Amino acid sequence: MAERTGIGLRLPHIAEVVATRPPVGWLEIHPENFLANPHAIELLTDLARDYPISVHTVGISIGSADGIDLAHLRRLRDLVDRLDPILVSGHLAWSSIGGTYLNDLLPLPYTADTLRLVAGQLKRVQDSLGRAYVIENPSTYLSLATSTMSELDFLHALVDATGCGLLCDVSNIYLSGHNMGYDPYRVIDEFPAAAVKELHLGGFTSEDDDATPGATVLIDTHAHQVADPAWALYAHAIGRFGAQPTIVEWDADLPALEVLVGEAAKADAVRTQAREERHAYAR
Amino acid sequence: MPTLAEIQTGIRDALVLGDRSAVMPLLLGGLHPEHRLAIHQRHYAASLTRALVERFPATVWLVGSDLVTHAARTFVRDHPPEKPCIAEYGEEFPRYLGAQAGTEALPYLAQFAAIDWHLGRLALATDDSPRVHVIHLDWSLDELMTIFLTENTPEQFALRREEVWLEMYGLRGELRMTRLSDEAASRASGQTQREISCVPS
Ligand SMILES: [Fe+2]
Repeated sequence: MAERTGIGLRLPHIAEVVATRPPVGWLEIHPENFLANPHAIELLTDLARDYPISVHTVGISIGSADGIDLAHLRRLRDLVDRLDPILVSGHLAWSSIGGTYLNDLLPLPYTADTLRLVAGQLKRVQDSLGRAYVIENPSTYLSLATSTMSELDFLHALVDATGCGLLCDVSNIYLSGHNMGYDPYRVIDEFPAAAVKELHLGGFTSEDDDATPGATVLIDTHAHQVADPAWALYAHAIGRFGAQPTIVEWDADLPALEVLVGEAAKADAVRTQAREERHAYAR
Repeated sequence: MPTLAEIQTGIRDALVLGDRSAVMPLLLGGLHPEHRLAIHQRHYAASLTRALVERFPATVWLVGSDLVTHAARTFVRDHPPEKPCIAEYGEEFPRYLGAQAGTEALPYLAQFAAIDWHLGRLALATDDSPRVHVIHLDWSLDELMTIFLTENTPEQFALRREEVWLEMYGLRGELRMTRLSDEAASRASGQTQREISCVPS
């Protein structure tokens, strides 16, 4: 498994990554950006010889009430078969209903019914792919009044029901805690640590919160460098989960590739320091 | 208690149509959760509008980004995506754009945008994917597209009304357009519908 931090590979960077082979541990792609782009798949297949690849879907919609889009699942399976990635993952969210794809990761009500649905659809996805499908905690601005459990309780219940792995997006935990009014450190402390297979870091944007005058809301834009409080939470997460493989995500207002590579190097440095501090405590 | 399908349909109606009535009582977030829902509504409209405008660069060059952006904003409401690959979203946009009020003086706009659509797909082609598309035109739009692609703007350009069967070829970013002879065109018109595109004038 990748020792060094990896980066989210976006199409505007791919030619430079092919040409310069930057010093990052691994590459994570959104298959939805590649499936319609045979040339990019060709370049990625070449990169897969030198880098471990992770396939992180934004289109599977594991929480859709009307089922998984089987045509999309088949396309995903073909790409996964071609790339043989080290991880395949997607979000605890939904994106499509009634044949409409909403291009967003939308909140689910956390109930026993939703748990049954997500567990069943997760099994279907894993059976089709023939490999594990790791679930990421979402970024949250809204919750459903019909929820009967917290996101954290739901993740525990999902792991208990399915044995699935989790992708812990540390920035999402910071952002959701800020937006929904809970302590992100407590979430890291109580997260199902044994299920964690990967960590994410990404930049967010702070705006005035029209929903609560005088407050701010954090938007998961992936359009900035990782913010200081998210780095601090990441160090705490390493203390709890150990040195898990990490990806830095950047999706909008893409910077020069070297800036993104610098963020990955920073994650390596934060992780090394957090491990040393952890070992110092242990002595 | 509403079912998950009802909740999701309510959120879809809010995002696509701006109708929040069904879902608003179910949402929590800040003191006024409708503003949190607005974050998702803005993302839906802005991300898809931007994707469409970026998908039709030659069309933006021809008629300006205001017209294309305006049409894209209503298109994402009238024709939401059905599939998760947004690069494949917008095949119906040329026809929709050409039917917009204010484009009556540009009867060739839909066909020009259709060439734009096909070239965008073909630019991503490899040896393993379809590399040739054929389109039927009622104007000499291939000449206009060549001006865009070569950035070689003549002093004057006159669009002629003429029947053209245009074969477009792409491979790893290389693009080529060739007019088909009558004989080749009649063969082309017998090919599968998938590779032939006829946009009504
Ligand atoms: Fe993430």
